[in-house]
Amino acid sequence: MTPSNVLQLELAAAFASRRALALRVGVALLLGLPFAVAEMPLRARVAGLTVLTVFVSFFGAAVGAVRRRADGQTMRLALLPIPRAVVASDLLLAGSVVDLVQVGPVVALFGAVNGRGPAVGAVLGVAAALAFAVLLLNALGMLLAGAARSNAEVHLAAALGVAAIVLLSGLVPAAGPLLGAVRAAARFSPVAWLAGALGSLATDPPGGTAWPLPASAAALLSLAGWLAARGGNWKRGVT
Amino acid sequence: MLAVEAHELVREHAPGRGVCGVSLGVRAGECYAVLGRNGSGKSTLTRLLLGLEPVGGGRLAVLGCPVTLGSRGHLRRLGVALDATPHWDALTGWQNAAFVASAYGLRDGELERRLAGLFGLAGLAPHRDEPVATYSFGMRRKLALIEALCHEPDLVVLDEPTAGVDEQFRVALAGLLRTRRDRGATTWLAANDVDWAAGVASRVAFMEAGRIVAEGTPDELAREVSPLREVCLTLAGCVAVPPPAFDGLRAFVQEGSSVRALVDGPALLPRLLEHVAAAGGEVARVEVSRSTLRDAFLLKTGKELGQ
Repeated sequence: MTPSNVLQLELAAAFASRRALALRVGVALLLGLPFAVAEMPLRARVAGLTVLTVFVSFFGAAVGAVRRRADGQTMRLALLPIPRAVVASDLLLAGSVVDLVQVGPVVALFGAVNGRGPAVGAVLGVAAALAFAVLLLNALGMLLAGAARSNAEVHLAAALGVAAIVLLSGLVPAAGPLLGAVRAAARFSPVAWLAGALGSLATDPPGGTAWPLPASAAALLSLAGWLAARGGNWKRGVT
Repeated sequence: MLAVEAHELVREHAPGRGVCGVSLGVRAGECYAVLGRNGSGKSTLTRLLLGLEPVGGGRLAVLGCPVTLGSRGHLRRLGVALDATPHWDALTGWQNAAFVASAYGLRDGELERRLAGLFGLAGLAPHRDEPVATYSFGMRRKLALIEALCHEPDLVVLDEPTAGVDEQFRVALAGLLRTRRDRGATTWLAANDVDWAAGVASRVAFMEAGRIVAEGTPDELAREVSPLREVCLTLAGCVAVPPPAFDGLRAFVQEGSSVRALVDGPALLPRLLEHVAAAGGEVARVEVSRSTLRDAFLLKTGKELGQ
């Protein structure tokens, strides 16, 4: 396939090697496996899976962006007559798609093992919350990389960022004085929405999610439309 | 019309480092080569042209567009190959080049025709479907040059284009740049490969310590030193020879056991040999030749231009 825009270029590079792809998916699957199948409280399983998503998306996006800069790819793209906003949005979408391919199988396994029967609303809610959280976390990771000056700096800042997101999303119990603030912040956190949606999959009957069915469907359709608009019309075969 | 116009341009990293007040004008259709040693400021000047560095002072316009950090108005008409050659290593050479060509608006048949021609010229055609990760340094350089030239830009900016590439491609690239010149397209070269640049450039600037110290056609600059003779001495050992002081000696540099001098004529050779012997040096080999553009650089800057 011949890539004709930054999204296609990044996706082609990410999926060019089967070994690299298997490693990406395999590592995420292995890390997430205990939270999908092990006997532990639902809250812990949901928190574990959500932290994994935060780590893959936010930390991965920050480190990936700095690596791109160090490799000279950022400058290479800056010298091409492609608007900066298009480059940034393509990089964001590509990073998000790759992350969804990584964490999607674990989340699906969690749903298969812990789901309480077919519940279209809950499944769509999880899919929409996952996609939205991954997009936002990628954007935050890229912003962080823009502010960091070195590889070491971004690793440190991204690790602290993961901790802050986990805390502010209510994935770990906050200390007494912080409890009110964390609860307030979690109401607006897409990461907390994802945790809520995952939890609702495993309740019997499936609980409500932060995203009503029409909103979930609209969010997923928007993402699919964006992806189709930028990722479509690949030239097949080696030309 | 000027393709590149700089007036008292400044971008100083430290005193005497970077660009310290450069004024120049490159006419459309010229192949303009900036020659200088490593650290002379030619790469900084090139990055200023591309909007990759903030302008510290003065004015700069490229293809009629004022340029400062982040300027993008001129990029569509530019082709660029800098000294670093970033690619997407997991993808093939063809995929990388096709992406760049697409970014410049090439499509389908035209894209394939242009790229196929350049891959053939560079000798990369047999390797076009191999991942860039398997490419050597020289192959990556060639790929970067293919990407810079594929859309036949109005101005192509090349930094050290011959570094790491084989002789066949040096010859092919020189031919390609001469064809561009004949067609009225402009080329900016930053290089220290003086012999190659002399063969392709219509005008040359010598850069040293952030300033242009001489400018002219290769013939004009070489003519200034044409009555002179270049004397190259290879010493048997590593003996430091102090610069001699006698009339007719224009320049004198020593690097290890190699001594190079520019003298007014071959008659001064015995005096030079006497001076070396007096300093304790034993001469193993003597070469006397007509002066070249490389000698013009030595005369103008007092410094040796690297290979």
